[in-house]
Amino acid sequence: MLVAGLDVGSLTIKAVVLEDNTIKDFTIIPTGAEINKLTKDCLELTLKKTGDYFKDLKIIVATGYGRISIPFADKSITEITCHALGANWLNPDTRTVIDIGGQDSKVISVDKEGRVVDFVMNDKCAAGTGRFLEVMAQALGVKTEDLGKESLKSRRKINISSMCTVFAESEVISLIAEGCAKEDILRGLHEAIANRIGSMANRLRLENTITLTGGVAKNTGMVQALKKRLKAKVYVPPEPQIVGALGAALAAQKMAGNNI
Amino acid sequence: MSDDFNDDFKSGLIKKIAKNSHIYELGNRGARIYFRKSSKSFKLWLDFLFYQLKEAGKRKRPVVWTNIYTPSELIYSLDLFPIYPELISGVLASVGLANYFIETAESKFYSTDLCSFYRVAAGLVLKDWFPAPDLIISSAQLCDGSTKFFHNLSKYYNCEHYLIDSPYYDDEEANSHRYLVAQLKEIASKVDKITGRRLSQERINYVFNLANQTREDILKINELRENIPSPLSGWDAMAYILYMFFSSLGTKKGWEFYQTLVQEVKEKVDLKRGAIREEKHRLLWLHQIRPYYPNEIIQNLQENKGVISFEEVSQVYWGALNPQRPWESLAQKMAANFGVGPIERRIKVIYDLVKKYKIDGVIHFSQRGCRQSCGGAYIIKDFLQEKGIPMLLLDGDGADSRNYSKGQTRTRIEAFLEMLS
Repeated sequence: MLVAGLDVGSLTIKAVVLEDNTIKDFTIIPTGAEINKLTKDCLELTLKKTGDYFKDLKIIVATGYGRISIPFADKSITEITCHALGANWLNPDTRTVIDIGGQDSKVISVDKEGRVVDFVMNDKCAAGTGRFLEVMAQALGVKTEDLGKESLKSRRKINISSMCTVFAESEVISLIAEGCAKEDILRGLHEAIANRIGSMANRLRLENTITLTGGVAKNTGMVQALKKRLKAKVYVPPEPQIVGALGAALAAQKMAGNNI
Repeated sequence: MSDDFNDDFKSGLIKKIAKNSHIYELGNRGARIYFRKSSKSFKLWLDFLFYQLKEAGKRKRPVVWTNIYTPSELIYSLDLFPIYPELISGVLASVGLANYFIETAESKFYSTDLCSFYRVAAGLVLKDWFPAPDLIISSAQLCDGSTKFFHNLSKYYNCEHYLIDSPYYDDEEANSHRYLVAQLKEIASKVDKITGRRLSQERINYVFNLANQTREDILKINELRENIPSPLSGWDAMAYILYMFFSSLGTKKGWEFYQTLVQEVKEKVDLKRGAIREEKHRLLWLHQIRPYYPNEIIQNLQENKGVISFEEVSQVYWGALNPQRPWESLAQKMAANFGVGPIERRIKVIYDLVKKYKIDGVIHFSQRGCRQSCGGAYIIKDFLQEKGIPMLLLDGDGADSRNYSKGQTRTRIEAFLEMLS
């Protein structure tokens, strides 16, 4: 049975096509102004890769902040529920999910069935999110995908005191002007975010294993900083960015009555 | 220059209109036509609101500015005419005017960290759109923003400010009631001097009896609300009904309002008609307020079959008042406020409400700038979680719509209701 999960995020759109509890393929594209069209394109691209047709999809579930703008989805479910489902499927030992996405970050407590027990979200600001790191990468002239690799070269600890994206950007520019190394600044930024996420995570009863999801989990420097801050067993899925879409596809599969 | 002139002209004109009592008569008629399809109780609230605004403008009785935890029975017994800036702020937010006043207040150095309801009120004061107070009586209960706000106002208007300081513990042996009684008596004697009239036992009897009858009706409503499906949405209970809850006890109009509301709620219970079409999750709302500016929270709840079955602010925590012992009765009412004192006191009431109203989940609305309610939120959450009752901490703002993020709020509410499923 063929189903699809769509995660319409603030920075990227993700589509996962699932058949009989197996991921057939997935696609990640940047978000733009025409969310509906782009989401359809994202799904079509995935279907092209799997050799399936739109009409073959039994159920489509949408998640992410743009979930309510997708008319061709059969149902919309929040990314909190979807990340919990996806993380549980990828690693059944998951009891905590930390999702650092483009515009927000969330810490989710899950039970062994992948059901949400409790959750916390960041304040309504970009601090501690993918967007924050993007702005900093721009200020430092580093590609987003190289942030982790660069920061791991650091030999000196620098403290970044501002968590407001605008203030942190000016702080970074001042540090560059003072002659600080890019990698040290990056490490400082990652540690600052890890501290923020860490305090948020401690509001819940943190239990092992902690699964990191969302685009920021691809950043090795960030993962390292979080491991250090959380002092816990951390699992990073091979493609952390699609966990929400995967969860949506799993929900679609359940809806379709084929919960294998 | 011409823009400044236009702004000054408009502001001056609005000021004149706002202070003309006839305009409220017209406003009431207009509102009655506009809301002709609304419930009878809602129309009675409109009457009360416009009556208050009209009478305050006439200044036949001294106008007192006060706050919600100052017993209205005290104000009416003293034959004063009350204005509740916090409640007016909520009304202005609901018609989309709050931000205009908030920006006025902020331009005069009112901090964005001050509770938005007081920033709206400060803007109203600065614009001079309201009848100035002859005196101010406020309670220090639950809200420390109000104490400084009213103190500031008393300087601005050069009028007396009587602050009722509430003891932390409700403990008769520790003289907490006597402490309150002494303050209330002192206020009464000072008000006598200002008004030149002596407080009459007859007036106290009249006001207290009305307040007691109204209290009985509120108790009836709260009992009816135990029914499934919920006959009255907490969303309404925290709007115009809450306005009456705080400002009308001790008035004939207040009693009429609650008598009508009892009938309306009873009718829904008899017909088994719920506040929403399909009720799946019964929710308890914590904190005195909710967002009043146009927002989608209630739609988010309804779409996911969540109904606010009850809200802690509607709990009747005080006993019937004894007109023969007015000061002791009012002191008891104030001291019985479960929001004052150790957090365990509030938790006990919350847990009783959870059981009484068969609650599935609790939403704590954490108002920005409100330390009293937000301070204990995590302790309440831990307690409820141990009892197996999930709780959502919903950060937000009741009057300042700039602090409302539609998408983020929707995600929190939907995820919480998905969790309850």
